[in-house]
Amino acid sequence: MIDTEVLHAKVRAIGLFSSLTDPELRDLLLRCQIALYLKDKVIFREGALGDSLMVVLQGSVSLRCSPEPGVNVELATVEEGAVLGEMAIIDPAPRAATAVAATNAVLLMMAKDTLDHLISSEHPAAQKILRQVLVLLAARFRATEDRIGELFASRLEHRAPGPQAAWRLAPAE
Amino acid sequence: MAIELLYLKALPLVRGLSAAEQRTLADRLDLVQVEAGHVIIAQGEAEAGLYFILNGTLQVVRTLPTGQEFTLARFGKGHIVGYLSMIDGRPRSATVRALTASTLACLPAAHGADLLASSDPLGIRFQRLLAREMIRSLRIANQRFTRAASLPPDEFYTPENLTAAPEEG
Repeated sequence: MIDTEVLHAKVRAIGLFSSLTDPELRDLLLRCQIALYLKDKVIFREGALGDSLMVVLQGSVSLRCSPEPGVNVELATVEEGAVLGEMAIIDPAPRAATAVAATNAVLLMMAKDTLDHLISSEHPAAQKILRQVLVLLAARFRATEDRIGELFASRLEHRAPGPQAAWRLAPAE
Repeated sequence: MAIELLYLKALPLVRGLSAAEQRTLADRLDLVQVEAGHVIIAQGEAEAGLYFILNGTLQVVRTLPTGQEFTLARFGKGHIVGYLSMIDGRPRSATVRALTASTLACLPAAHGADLLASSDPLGIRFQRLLAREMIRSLRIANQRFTRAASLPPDEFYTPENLTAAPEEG
């Protein structure tokens, strides 16, 4: 179990919540859920509707996906401090991966409804969290562009100069 | 030059804003008209304004250290480009070029920073809009990336798997 003080310190260390004042943080935690997942327990499944953000407060979580039937890809194992579902809390959609507790793990969960309520009630924490979600998304975006660049470069090395492939991140208008 | 309200009606950001909020937004935007081929944003630069596309098509390209260039995306009316640097203050990650003559609304970096720090309805609306724009692109990219990574190298350029588009002339 985590006691309240330890919990506050752990949540405070997460970038997403780092700019909240102590009263804002306490108030936010009252609106969130904390859950313990035993090792190997599925936290969410690929394809299930995701409408919450989660933070790993203790332990580690394995992310897996199945790009086609019968194919399972281990994407990553994330540790304490990792944030999952930062897209779902803004725009709910089917989860892109399955998350499984790789060890016994404690997670903080914040529902989209909670953020929406904070926004509509003009709670001072709302804008601070939204701002940090944008920072997190921007970091993910840059990392994704870097990975695409690396993949593109490595494929060029394996192949003589040929037709240029054009990658789109969004459909052409 | 501040933008005419008429242009603004095309932007998703504007819907639901009061007349006063629309005026505030219009005062912060500059109308930019560019010809095909014009470079709007240059990879590596520190400038951090963003652009709403009112008309036309923009191409986002990334240059590798080897000098080779590849297309990350093409965007048309209603989309936004250039928000990453506005959010994180880091240099431009890619170059944005006009594929066709285009009309844009530029939100300069200083005004953007104000909106990002604001908790009034316009600020919150702007922050949510940027988040959704990023999420849409990230989801498409992640999906394509997952598929590409599981393909053998020879299939990398296969259009039906990767939605590879012909290079624009």
